[in-house]
Amino acid sequence: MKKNLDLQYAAHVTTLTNKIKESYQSNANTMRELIAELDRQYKGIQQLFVNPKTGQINLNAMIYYKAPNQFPVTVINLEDKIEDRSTITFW
Amino acid sequence: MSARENSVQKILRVDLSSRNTYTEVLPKEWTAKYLGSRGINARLLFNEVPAGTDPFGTDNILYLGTGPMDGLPTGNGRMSVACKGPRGSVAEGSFGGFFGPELRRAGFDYIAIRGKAEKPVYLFIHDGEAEIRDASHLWDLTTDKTDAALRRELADANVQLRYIGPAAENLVHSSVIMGNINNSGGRAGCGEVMGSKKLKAIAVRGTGRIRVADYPGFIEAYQMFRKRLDLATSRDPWTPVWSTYGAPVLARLFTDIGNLMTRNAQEMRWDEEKATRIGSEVYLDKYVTKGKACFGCPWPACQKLYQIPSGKYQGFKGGNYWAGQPVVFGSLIDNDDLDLILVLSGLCNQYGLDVFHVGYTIAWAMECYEKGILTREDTDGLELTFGCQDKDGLIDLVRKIAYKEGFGELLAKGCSEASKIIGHDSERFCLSVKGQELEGIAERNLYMVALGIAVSEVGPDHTRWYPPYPCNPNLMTKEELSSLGIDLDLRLAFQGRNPEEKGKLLRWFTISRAVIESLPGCVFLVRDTLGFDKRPWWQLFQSATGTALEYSEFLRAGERLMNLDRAFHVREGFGRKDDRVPIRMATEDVPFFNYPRITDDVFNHMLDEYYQENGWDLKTSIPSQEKLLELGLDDVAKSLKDISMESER
Repeated sequence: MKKNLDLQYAAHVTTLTNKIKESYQSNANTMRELIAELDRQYKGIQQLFVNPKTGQINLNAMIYYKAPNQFPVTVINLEDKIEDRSTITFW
Repeated sequence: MSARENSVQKILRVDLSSRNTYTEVLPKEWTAKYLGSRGINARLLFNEVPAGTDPFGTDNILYLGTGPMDGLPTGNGRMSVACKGPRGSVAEGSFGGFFGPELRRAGFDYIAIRGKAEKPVYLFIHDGEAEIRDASHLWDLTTDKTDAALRRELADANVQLRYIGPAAENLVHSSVIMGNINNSGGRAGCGEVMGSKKLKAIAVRGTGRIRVADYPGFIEAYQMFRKRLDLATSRDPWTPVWSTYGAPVLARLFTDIGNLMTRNAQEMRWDEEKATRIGSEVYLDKYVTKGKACFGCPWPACQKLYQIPSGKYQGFKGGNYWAGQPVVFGSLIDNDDLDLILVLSGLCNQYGLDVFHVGYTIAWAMECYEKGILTREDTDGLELTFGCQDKDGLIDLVRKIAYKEGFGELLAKGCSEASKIIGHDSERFCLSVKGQELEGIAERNLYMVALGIAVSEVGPDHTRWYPPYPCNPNLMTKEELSSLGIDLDLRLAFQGRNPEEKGKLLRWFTISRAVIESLPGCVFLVRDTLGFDKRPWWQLFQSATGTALEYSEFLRAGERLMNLDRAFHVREGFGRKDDRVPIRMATEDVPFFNYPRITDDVFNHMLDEYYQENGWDLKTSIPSQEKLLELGLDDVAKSLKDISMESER
């Protein structure tokens, strides 16, 4: 079942997405899967956020994840699960 | 002028009372011990401005300091300005631009200005010579008009300038020194002191060259330095953001996480749509006309010049909309009109006002108005509500602050003094430390920030321990940190609301910045590894100056500076009792997020750790004799030996 997500993009990320936010439906279960999915639409976003050598989040990238009714936290682990109706900020 | 040996540092001494100038060569060993710029300014200040000196008197000395890395192609147009500030302790700040390199090409590294002119003057320095010239015709001019007038008068578009505006001439609290129209520095009181000396401006023109001691070594070090800044590989999450969109991007990002001071920090969350309207994306799209960089900076131009394209304020021009203004003229006063923010910010630059003083004092006044403590009778009829309905009234209020007119006279004192005058417990929501208004960074969600703004001798200044925001704890491994002599658990240190490791982290960031600002260098260029690894800078310094020193000694220069600042501070009677967060942060939880207030237990835990790591007395904050002797500050140790003070802990 698809998840309904609120995605926000800031600063240089907007040069890839051409928008600062969107409501997005996704099949992704983890942050890694979501980024891979987004990369099909916004080519280059995976390169911004995922280190090709380590497979971990790039040290010079930030993602905030806000689960429903929770406060945002910084994403360190790309295997973190994504919940329906969460808000994710990429910068 | 011929090329200069880069390890020799010269100071131009100016006495405005006697109208004399002369040159001195600083001790050669100071280059290794204090590096330059802020480090040497701190040494001079401690040596030459004794305790009890009247900040506005003739014996206070205003120092402008470049350093051995200034004028080299590493983005080093920075310089430090320092004096004893009107709040009684160190006043120090830095600015970028082009003045520092030009001063060095003119044959000087430092200027020390004492005395007081009978009538307004400006100093003109050119290729080894210095003249004190009449500036009566410039007095009362705004900074942009001063800039234009001096360039015409000196008939040289390449002359570099530093000047004050009407605010500093009128001794308005926290007024700044400006240059290159939009670069400001010295908000802790340097502008006021310059104004008190009736010194309107300093102009400099130089044709000399700066010779690097070891050219091949410098090139090798430079290549290492540039690699660290590569946007593709830098470890700093802010490098891509800062270099293209700039800090106003934070307004939109921070409102979600409780980091955005809103309505005088009564809340820390603003309306998301309002935050978006004043953010970087809109600013770049609609207002920016040109990027602008400092001397030799390898980054994309982080300064931006702007012009308001349409509407009531069409045509208004300014520059440097950065991290502070979206807060102080945006969320803090609940204003989402970016035109108005840019006009207020630009006017502050023109008058030479400190945007933080103006923004926080107006926000304090708005809360007073909201609570009925101030009425329209007090505010010259201005409806001083959050949301800024009366925009023209607000714009006029900024002018009144600069000229100490009407209601502006009260606000010109800053919110700390103003709240003492107004009373009604309004001190509880005056957001200042040591009489100096805050900047734009959250304390109750970021404990290191709370500690940093509390302990800084100049008052809140995040650039003295930058960066304020926690990053990925995988930034550096424990082994990497250990190889650099740093014992830190980044996982704990980067947890915003955990008091553990904050004292240690602050100490390392403070030493790091002290080193960089003594070269001098720009804090934005050290963000890879967040400044933990200074080896590229160490190599640059050694090859530039021909001064060989161990890496540990290079860092020790930063620790010396930290202790010189604290020594000056305690010698003036400050101590632990003054290292505090604003009352609001200590007594009110953050609504909506329920971030707790910063309790005494939490704060004292962090403060104890900070003092302990520094080797400072836990009760008084006085640096221990042992620490000072270890740092080779024997004279400072002797000077502080008999100081004692009561702790109010």
